[in-house]
Amino acid sequence: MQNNLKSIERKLGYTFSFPILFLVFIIIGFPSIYTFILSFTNKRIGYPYHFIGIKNYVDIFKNPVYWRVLSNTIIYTFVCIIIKLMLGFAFALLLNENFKGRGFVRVAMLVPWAIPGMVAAHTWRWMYNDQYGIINAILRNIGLIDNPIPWLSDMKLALIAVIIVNIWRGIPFFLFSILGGLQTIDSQLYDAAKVDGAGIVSRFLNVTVPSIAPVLTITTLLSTIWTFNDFDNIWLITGGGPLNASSVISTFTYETAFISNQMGRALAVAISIIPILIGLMFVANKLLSREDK
Amino acid sequence: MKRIISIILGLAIVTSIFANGAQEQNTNKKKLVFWDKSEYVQDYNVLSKQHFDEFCAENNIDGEYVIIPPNDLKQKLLASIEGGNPPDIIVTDDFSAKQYAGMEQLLSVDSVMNAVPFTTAAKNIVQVTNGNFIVPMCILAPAMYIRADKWEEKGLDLPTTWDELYETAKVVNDPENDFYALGYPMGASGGGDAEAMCRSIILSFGGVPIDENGVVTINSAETLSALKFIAKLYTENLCPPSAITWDDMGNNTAYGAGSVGVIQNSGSVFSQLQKENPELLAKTRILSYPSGVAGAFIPTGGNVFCAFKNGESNDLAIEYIKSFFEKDFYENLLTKMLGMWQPTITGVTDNDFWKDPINSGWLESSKHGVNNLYPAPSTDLIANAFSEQLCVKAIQQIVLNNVDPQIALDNLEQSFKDTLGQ
Repeated sequence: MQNNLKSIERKLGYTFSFPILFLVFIIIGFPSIYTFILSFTNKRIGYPYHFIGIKNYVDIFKNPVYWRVLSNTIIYTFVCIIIKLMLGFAFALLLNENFKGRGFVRVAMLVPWAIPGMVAAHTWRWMYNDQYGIINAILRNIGLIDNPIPWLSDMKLALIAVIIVNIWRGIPFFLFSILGGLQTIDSQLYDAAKVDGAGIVSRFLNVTVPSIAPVLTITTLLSTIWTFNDFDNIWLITGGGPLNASSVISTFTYETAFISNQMGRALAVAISIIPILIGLMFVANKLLSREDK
Repeated sequence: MKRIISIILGLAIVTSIFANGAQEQNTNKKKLVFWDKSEYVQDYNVLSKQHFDEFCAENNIDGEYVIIPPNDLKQKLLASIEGGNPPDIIVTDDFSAKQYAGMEQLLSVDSVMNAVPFTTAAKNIVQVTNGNFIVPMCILAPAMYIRADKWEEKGLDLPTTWDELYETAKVVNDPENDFYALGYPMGASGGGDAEAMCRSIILSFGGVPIDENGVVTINSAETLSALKFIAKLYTENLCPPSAITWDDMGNNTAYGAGSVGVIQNSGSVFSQLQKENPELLAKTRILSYPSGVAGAFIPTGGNVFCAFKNGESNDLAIEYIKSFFEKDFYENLLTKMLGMWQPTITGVTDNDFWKDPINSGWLESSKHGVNNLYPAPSTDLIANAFSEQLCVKAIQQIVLNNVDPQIALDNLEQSFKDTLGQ
């Protein structure tokens, strides 16, 4: 009798899950499989395509531009996440204290997050302009520089320029996620730590950080994935230039697909980073599982 | 109570489904989708939309008019072609349109070319090897704009050759006071200005990117001299540092702001200065392109119409394109463009507007340029090589990465061959 009930429950479960699984397959599964297949063809929009084996993958792995772009992506992601985490944490600690005007400051800190991406990108692009941008104007007026800095057309500065914008836009996400976590910490834990003679640093490392570790993990993981896949910020400010100096995987894929009209090759580029993203998921899953225990 | 609310909601959903279906039956009109180019002179898009709306009303069809910036068109169009849902009509640059002709996506426009009296110069900019697929809407003859006051201050004659331009630019250049003698864009932004300028200099130095048989012939001593010449305009700080990444708007903006002394552009700048900065226009002279040892080559293109085979309304698309060239409408539109456009049809220049010396100068210039792909035949792959801005990227390699010019030229030759499948 009990086995029959379990069997019926199992069948009902599958029956009710089927529509959503079907939908997920149509929206995500089928396009992913089709993308994978097309990456082995010489697909160009407007022309018939043919299977060419692993030629696309061989070509991209032999292309120094691909490795440049991949290294840019890793540098971009790593630097942005580290700085956003540090600054977001610092601001969260600050905004967790009581001070006059705290409410106003909290709202003001939301602005970079709230501004539409396109507006922010165009504004920063104008600010970075070497002839009439405000950044160079201020730096020249205070005597820090004699000649304007070509923020967006220097091979070394272009990537730094877009990193700054990503950090500016991404801090609020870390700030408010961590702030939410900080506000759930029981103050008695700090009292107990003080009684035991723990200093500020010790209380931070042994009470604060462990208490909000799950929040830190999930926030960092989500932000890492978003930053790794960042497109509009870079495309609108530098277009990935000059000469791929600020190009990342997403902009390189877009350029290969729609500017050079080499869709098969572009899909091969996109597929090539899946192992990296799976690795990230694996690490995150491990960390989160450890937290659950 | 819950049952009653559920029944009411269910009836509402069913009713709305049937109502929507009924509405779709009632509006069974044909539809015409037009992706128009976003122009510098706003009057164009206003008049174009008005004309389109009138055409749709007269023919009892639903019209969808969309304005697309030139830098965004290729990506959007490729996505729509891949999705099997391209627009019926587009307006784009001539070199861009030639790529789609080779994809066999375009409708034959033989009936338009036979019905409308196009000039020889207009037919030259739309020629492709596999038939008539592109209709010339207007010619955009370029010229050199120069701050004559800056040259006169230094007692210099206005330059007529590239060498004269370089030598006088060195004298006029004043970066410490935020004034650069030259404002040539060299960004790989997808526009045509930078690539056209490179090819114009290469041709005037005696180099030939692709010959009349479609063979890549770019790797020559003449082209090497041209590349070195272009690169030194940036490495010697004669152009603003950011010019190496400017898109097609960069030089317009810089000239209008008074921060550069020379640009090369179509009448768009002239129109803009007439309206917004007549004082600057008074200090400007508009001259022909400088010449080199092989002469002067003025890359002349224009805006063109294309109609897509897989669009919903092929017949209407063709009829709309024909209607665009109705004499009264077209003549009026040309005058609103303030000399930025030159006509592609005969019989519309016998009026006071074109008798004005400045406008007649633009008109004359439009008859003597070479198309952007000159001297190569106009195929989709050769148009693609222009669109990919290969010469621009070679210059960027020399200026930004300090690549040896000969190595950059060798790489450029290989890039051309890869794109053309040679």
